[in-house]
Amino acid sequence: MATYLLRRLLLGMLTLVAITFIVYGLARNMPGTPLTVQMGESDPSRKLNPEDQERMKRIYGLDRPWHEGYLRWLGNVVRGDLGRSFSRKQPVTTLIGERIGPTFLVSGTALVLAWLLGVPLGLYASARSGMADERATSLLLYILYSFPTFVAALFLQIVFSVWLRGTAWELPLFGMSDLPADASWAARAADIARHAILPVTCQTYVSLAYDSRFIKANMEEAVRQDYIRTARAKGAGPGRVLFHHAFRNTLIPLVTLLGLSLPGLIGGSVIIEQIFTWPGMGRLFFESIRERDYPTIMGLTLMFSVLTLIGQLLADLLYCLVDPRVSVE
Amino acid sequence: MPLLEINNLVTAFHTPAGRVPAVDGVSLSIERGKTLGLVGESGCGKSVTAMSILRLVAAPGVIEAGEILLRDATGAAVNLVTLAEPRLREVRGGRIGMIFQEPMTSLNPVFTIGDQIAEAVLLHRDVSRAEARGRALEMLELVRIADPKRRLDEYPHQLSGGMRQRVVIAMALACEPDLIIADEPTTALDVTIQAQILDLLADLRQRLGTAILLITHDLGVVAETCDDVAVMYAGRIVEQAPAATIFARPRHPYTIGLLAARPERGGHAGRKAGERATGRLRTIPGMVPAPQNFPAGCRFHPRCAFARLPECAGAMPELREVATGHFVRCPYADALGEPRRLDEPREQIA
Amino acid sequence: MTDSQSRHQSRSFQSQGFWADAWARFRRKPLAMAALVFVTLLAAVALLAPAIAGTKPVLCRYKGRIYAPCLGYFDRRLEPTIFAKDRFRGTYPRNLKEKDADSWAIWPLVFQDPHRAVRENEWPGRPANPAKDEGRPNGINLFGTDQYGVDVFAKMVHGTTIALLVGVVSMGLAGTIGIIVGALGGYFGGWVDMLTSRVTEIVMCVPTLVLILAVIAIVEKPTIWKTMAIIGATGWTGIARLTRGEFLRLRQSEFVTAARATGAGPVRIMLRHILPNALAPVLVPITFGIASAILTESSLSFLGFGPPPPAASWGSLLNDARSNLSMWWLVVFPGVAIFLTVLAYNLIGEGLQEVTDPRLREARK
Ligand SMILES: Nc1ncnc2c1ncn2[C@@H]1O[C@H](COP(=O)(O)OP(=O)(O)OP(=O)(O)O)[C@@H](O)[C@H]1O
Ligand code: SF4
Ligand SMILES: [Mg+2]
Repeated sequence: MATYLLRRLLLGMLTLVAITFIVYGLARNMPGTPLTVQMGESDPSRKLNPEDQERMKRIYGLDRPWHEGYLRWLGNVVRGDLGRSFSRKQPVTTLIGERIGPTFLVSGTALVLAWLLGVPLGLYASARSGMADERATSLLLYILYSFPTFVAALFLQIVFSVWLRGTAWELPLFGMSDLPADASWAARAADIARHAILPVTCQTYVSLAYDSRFIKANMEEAVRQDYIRTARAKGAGPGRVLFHHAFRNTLIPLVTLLGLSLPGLIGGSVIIEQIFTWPGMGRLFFESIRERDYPTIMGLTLMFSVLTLIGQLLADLLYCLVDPRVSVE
Repeated sequence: MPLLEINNLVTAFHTPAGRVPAVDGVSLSIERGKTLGLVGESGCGKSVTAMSILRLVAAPGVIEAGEILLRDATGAAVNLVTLAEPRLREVRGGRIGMIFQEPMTSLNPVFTIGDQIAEAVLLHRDVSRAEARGRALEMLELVRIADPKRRLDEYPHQLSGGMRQRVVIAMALACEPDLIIADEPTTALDVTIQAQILDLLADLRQRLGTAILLITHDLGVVAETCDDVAVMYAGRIVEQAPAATIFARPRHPYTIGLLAARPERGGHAGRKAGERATGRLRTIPGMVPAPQNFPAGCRFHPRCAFARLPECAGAMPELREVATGHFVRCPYADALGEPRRLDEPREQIA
Repeated sequence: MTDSQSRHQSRSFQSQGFWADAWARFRRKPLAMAALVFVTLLAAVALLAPAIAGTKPVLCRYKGRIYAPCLGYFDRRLEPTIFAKDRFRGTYPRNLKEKDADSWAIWPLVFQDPHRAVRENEWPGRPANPAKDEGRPNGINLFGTDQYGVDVFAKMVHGTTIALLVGVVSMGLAGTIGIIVGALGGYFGGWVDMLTSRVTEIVMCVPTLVLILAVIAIVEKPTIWKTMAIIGATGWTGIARLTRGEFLRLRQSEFVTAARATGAGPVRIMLRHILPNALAPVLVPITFGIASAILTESSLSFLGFGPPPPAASWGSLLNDARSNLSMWWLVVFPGVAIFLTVLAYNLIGEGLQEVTDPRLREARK
């Protein structure tokens, strides 16, 4: 067990270094530097003169070749320092700390909802396989599954923010809260909840459709196995066959899926956060790319990658837990 | 009164390519405590018959006609074909146990051996979990698994093929059924293990008085273990008789062919050592027809060494009793005499 | 003929039968077939876009010669220079008649331009395209107009090319990379496999959209081709894994041993013997990949990283809509188009999976 974890850890480190190296290289080779992009975009007349640019480059360490920059960044990371954001003049860790909550609010709710609804739906669909109601449900899920999130988000925005404007059903279009800072705690929570409805819906439906289809496919695979026939020959009823014998086997691929959904939980969805201008990690990433804010890009990449790796490790460990044929060795 | 009586069973698969009548009018009977061997070439419908008895035939397969009567000790019969699902489940694993061909895949990989045997008990007996577990332990001892206490908490992948088959047998026997259906229980095992499993089955039958429907390819096995034999060809029974009669005086040309095709063995004892005797295998020329294109008339006629044409291609012969307890589906069975031509080794005709 | 040659021959017959069989079964799936018809239809729309919606004649006779100015929609350089010389400035109907009374022209089905608003009387007797939120769908502007008065239907018809190209080109690239990487790892095993698997894992680890955004930001001018290249370069991991598995399985099969015995080299064995057998399972993730590539491209365009104007993909139409939510038609039509296309490819992929996966096939026999 210990050696297994150690090996995974080392391999994970290696992967992390490789990923961050690539992304750092890419980021540094983007056209434009944070200095030119920021100043030039807002007001062309305020473009820095060459000397000033050079001076600032030195301050930000942009004058060195990028591989040196990478090594310096890596060294700082090892010491727990992700650097300071260029464009926001704040430590990257602070920025991430600010954004993690909102993202978790949306994606955590969406994940729980998706599993709470998706698992029963998938089981229901496999139990009633072939019947008219199952076919209708499955078709609907299939349609949802192919429905692009951003299209759905726009549809929902039109319906709830434009067509229903002025009615009780109106939902806010953007942001997380419109209340002034001195509003009461309860009012604030209610306001945030109202703002979160549309993003959560959008993020839920896709995973819901995916999860239930995944469960159904795996259940169908499981019920074709010989051991299901054995169970039926023992006298087990259809419910027991499906929920005890088949589902327990479906759990194996299911925990893998759960592990892999971990990074999304904290990484959030760039598109959804962008559409609803939700102040989360995805949006932070999007903005930092636009602003060429290397430290933030790197910090987020590192975090996403770490999460992905942890998710994979978690999936593997859970896998051992539910499948007696597999052990960590 | 036979324990199980199958009359004119028809089971067909409704595939996109058309109806496939895999079992097409099978009639069989098994006496209480006796072993019936069901033999026939691959694809003739043996497994489908076995599955039909417990209504386990999977999706495109439908039991279209016939009755399957199961009698209890008083002689009262239920028809398994029309029995309601909940009542049928009491029969499955309760009054009829089933052993499958593939020991490697018939056990659920994620549950322990103990749980799986105990489940069979819990489904049919009103006992506590602990009692069911005790029964599972007993059963493992019964099927002669070494160190049963430890095995109880092991998973199927930790067991060898032979041991898994013993577990399946233990599961099938856990509720002391009247009948065990064993569908080629030894085909997937290596020869030494085969002999052990067959011995075990024979022994259990003696001790528990369970009737067995033993499906097999192997006439040697039949000769050793069975009281009666039914020979199946192309979805139908072509001959049924006591084992001794079949081996001494086969009547149907197909049975005659099968017996002649048997590899030479050093008598019955040769089997015990599990040896596959050398010697030339005489095969029946031609191939088993697929259910989609069974020939008209006697289904065996394209391959029959005694066929009389055009009569044999005309009407389907009926199963008739030629001697007490000896049924044959060939109108010329009495006139055939001793098998002549099939004694000669022959090249297979493509 | 040696034994292995004859074996190989009989195998290729078999695989022909396999595809014929698969096609026969595919044809019996109404949804998958409908999806295939839909995609074919889209391809036709993409090819015939200038003849469906445009303001340049499909064919015209001008000063004694026949021209096809509509080709200019595919590439500026294909538009005959004579019209520029005669100062048509892109408006054909009036100019043709004024400058050559004998001229005639075959017009596109819908006289609307994907790049600019149609002006008043440009088509005799027709008003100018409405702009802003006046432009809801009507008889002239089937899908309405955008905030500048450009016809949405025309934009969408001309955007079809992008939607289809993105899927096919990027997955063609991803398929090539994935098959090569997977084949090398699966066939050679050992350290090659170790290396390719690691690389695959690393690429898999990077959140796709993140990588794509990063790369898009790097390239100087994001053209649609670069987008396709990036989607392809990041989307091959699943294909590589599957190919690796298939090659791993097939390299031990007897026909490969037989081929090796006749002295066939690794490249030949991989290309001629293993690949044809590994193709069916690999085709499935490629089809699903097309769906997700279309989705990724439209997401990118939607986020504002689309092809530079005047070319417009369906996703960039949606981006325009974001700031004009009251113009619902800017959302509904492109949105539904993206959805249907993605759905169609998913359905085709699913159908393909059902007819080629031996396990599923067994079950449905
Ligand atoms: N699911 C199915 N769909 C269509 N046909 C089937 C199906 N299952 C079985 N069959 C057909 O039924 C026939 C009988 O099959 P069965 O499995 O009973 O043969 P068998 O006698 O048990 O052969 P073996 O000795 O090889 O086990 C075969 O011809 C087979 O093609
Ligand atoms: S009926 Fe005719 S063909 Fe059939 S077994 Fe008898 S002799 Fe042979
Ligand atoms: Mg069988």
